[in-house]
Amino acid sequence: MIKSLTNQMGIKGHLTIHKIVEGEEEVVYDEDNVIVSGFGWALSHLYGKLGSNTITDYQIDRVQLGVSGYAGLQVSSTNSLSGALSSTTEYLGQSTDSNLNVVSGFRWENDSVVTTPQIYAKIPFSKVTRIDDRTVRYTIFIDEDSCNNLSRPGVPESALNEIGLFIKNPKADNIETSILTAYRYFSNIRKTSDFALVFRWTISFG
Amino acid sequence: MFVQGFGEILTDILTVNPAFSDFPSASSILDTSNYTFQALTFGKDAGGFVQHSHAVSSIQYVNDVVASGASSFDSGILTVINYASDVTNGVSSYIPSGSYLLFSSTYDSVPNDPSPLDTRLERGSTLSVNLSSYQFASALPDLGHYANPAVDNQLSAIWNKVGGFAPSGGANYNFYNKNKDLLFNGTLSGDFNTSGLMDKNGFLTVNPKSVREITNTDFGGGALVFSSTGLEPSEGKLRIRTRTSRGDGMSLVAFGSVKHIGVYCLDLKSMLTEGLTPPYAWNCLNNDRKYKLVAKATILDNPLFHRDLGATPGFGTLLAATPTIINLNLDFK
Repeated sequence: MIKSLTNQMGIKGHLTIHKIVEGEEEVVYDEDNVIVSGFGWALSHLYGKLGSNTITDYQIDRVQLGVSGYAGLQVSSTNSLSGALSSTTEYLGQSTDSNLNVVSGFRWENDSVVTTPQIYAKIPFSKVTRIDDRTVRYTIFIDEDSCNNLSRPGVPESALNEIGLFIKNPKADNIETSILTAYRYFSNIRKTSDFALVFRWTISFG
Repeated sequence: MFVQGFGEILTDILTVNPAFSDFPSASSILDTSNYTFQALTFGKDAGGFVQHSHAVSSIQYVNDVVASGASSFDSGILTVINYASDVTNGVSSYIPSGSYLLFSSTYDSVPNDPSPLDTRLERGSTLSVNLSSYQFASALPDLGHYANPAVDNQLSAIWNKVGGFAPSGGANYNFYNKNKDLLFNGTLSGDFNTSGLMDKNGFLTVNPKSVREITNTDFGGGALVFSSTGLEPSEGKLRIRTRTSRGDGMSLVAFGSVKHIGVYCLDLKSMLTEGLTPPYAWNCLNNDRKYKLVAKATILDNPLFHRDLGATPGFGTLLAATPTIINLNLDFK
């Protein structure tokens, strides 16, 4: 039996969520996360030379936030958020002050492209930090003007409670088609303009 | 097993600056070939590098004449002594366990257990100390795996003692039984060197074709990365395959067989530090690539196992004619 990469190398992620109110930072969440099978799918395409010839297409450069997460999704087979924010407006609100850069694209799921447009928030490269030879940290800043006052049918006051990291475009598709590589469900945070959130997500490769 | 070097490669992938694409002189750093599998090596127990066909007489010979400062040992002939020649069907086969048994008081034939911290196949020295009197002894490598001296201009004259891969041009071998009676002799040629697939440090290049283009017998370009039933990229899996055939299998088993296989990516940072910039073309005779171990497999059985079949010699005929395929299955999930 072949032992998987994540088990062999002890690949793990760790997510902390910080609430920032008037410059004061408070940790509201601090847990490990799941590296999902999409990471291995992307690597097998890289090492099988079946995908993009540009290494940056295999980088984690985008994130989705969602409102319907649950603990049962924290398994390696998860390939999407349960209730990802689905519009630019949900990320940026009505104002023009949000610092987020959102893009639209498709998503890989079970080796097929889901052509329902997905909205992703880009992670600036300046927020990708090499901690040591085998550890990378992603810092995702959701400012006071972003992801506020979300609502869904039947849930007028929806709360953020899931997040996923995505690899950019491993098969170099014309419409960027990303794949989920890490997922975490967290306790509800009803986001308003009163505070900002910082997600610090660390992935260690052994 | 994947080792920590693979974690370093993955970290490099995730943190290489996309802005390199804006600079034509640096954009090739972003080519995926700088991060994919580029080489394989073959190794064995460290103690074995002074045993089997590595063992030499205390006198150097050139053309059967005792010489001082000689350029070859045992006249450049591969010497194969089968210390298990009394084993049923084993008289004309090379049985490494015969050497294990005879020299067990001084020879630990067990390879290192693989560790995720490994940066080479065998942690102990694999330097052939038997050859310290050789005029170019300082060129002898301590690699942790088999070297390929046949393409090293300082060591090619003693390939028959350094091991482990036969030259391309038909080298001679003598095969002896446990009493050191010559049973037969012959010639052997290695496919790796005939096809220019391996550098002097024993790095076998990897065929650059994609899984989609490659067939599972397409060994002319090096080791293969391909998919097969149950090992599809759609499932996050791949297979690495290599083949030792003709003189490669014969010489490897004569030097104590294969107990480790190593998989390598380029050590891009190391090369950039030395001023070597991509693209890095493959050249077996002048290879300036530097490699980083990313995965290894350790084998306790002899993958080059062979025996005589009736009157047909196992070593000179059956092993010479029957390639050995070694597969490494990878699960990236």
